[in-house]
Amino acid sequence: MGKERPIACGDQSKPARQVKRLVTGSGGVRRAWKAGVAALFAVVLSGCATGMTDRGDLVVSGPAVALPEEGTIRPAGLKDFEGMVSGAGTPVVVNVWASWCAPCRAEAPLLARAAKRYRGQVAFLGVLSRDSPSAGLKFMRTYGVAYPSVLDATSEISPFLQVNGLPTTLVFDRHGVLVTRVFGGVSEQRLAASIDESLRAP
Amino acid sequence: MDVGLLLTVLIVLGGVQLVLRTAPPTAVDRSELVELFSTPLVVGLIAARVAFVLLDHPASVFRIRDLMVVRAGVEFWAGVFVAMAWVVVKARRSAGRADAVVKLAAAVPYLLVGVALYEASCLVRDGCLGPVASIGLVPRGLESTMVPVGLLVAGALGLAAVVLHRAWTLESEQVALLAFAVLGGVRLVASWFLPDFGPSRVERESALVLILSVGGLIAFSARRGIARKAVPASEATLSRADVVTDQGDVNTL
Repeated sequence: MGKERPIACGDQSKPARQVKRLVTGSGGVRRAWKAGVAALFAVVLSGCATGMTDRGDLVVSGPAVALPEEGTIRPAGLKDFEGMVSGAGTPVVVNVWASWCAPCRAEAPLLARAAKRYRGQVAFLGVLSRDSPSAGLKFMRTYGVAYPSVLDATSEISPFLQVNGLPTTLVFDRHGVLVTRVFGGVSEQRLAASIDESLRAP
Repeated sequence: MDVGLLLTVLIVLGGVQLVLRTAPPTAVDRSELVELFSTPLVVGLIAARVAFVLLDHPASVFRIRDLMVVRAGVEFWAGVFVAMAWVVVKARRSAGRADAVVKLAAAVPYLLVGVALYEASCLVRDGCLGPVASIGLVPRGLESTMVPVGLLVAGALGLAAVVLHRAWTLESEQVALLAFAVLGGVRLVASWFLPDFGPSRVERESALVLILSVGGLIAFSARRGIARKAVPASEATLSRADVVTDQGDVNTL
């Protein structure tokens, strides 16, 4: 054993034998177990659908239809939906959701905050998919979602929007041209950047 | 499957492991540092997500499935401080306060590397967003060229990690406080340039961490200066240059 000196940071009485006990590893099995847990954790983390598609692969058009009143859910077909988005006169954020979908609940406060932040500049419209209006209204009250939704009553809207999982968020510019589509939960940065881009569109 | 998030986890864990191998810590054993990171990482992530849900939508706090959607948001500093508290409590139970600080100081450069790798992995997640500019990157799914704030943050934190790893003349407390000041400052500046819906908690919390860390650093350095004047040089406490060898001895470089 070499000369005993205190370790750094003021513990002047600690002998080196104690330091030796500190630096001893606790075995490969334990580390392997922890690596396994970390890998499992990574897989669990990845358990929801996300992705993005490029601008312009979808354009909505048709006679203008007024958006539903705030805080309401109105049954609508594809033509009505297209009229609402293309006739809004502003960029429109469309969020396809359901009350039973965990990522939808997780992102609802973010969307509610975004709708408040961009009030008057950007319209927000939910598309309630595979759910009942009563459950949807309860969800909207719980999470403070004030913007309106349409009920995909004829099951035409989700296929038209190429939705392959919930939630899906689409941002259209004022001409009804798709700016971006995000599959899965959307982040604040991504949503803000997409909305800003839709506002910059001529 | 969220490939981006999965890749991010792999990049961070793999990258930190690689850095631990190529630039191992000097004050503690590498295997111990790996252990130091594994459980606190998980504990910190859980705490960060629970804190976010509690603050943003408490209605979901008892829904396990909602809590699992980490992508929806985490409270970064809550996670960092819970993970740090975990490290300190574990170290104190096993060996005492001084060892907790030594371990924390040994861990912080790798913590900065981990955060830097997370920021750099914006390339495989949402794209590296930032203010619109004539030079930069075009995030996937968008048409505007943006300054990649995430990559700049990664560069700054990586540089800070290298400097702190080699800051031999600093004491452990100073290294830890400096690391938190850097992390707070960089996150504060980054939050000014990232697209968002207005002032957020990240800004306020990062500013608070920056102020507290700098204040703590000044107070510690002043107290140390007074203590040094009071005792002969031979009895003064050792800097981080005094390292623990594999044999358990303590040597001065």
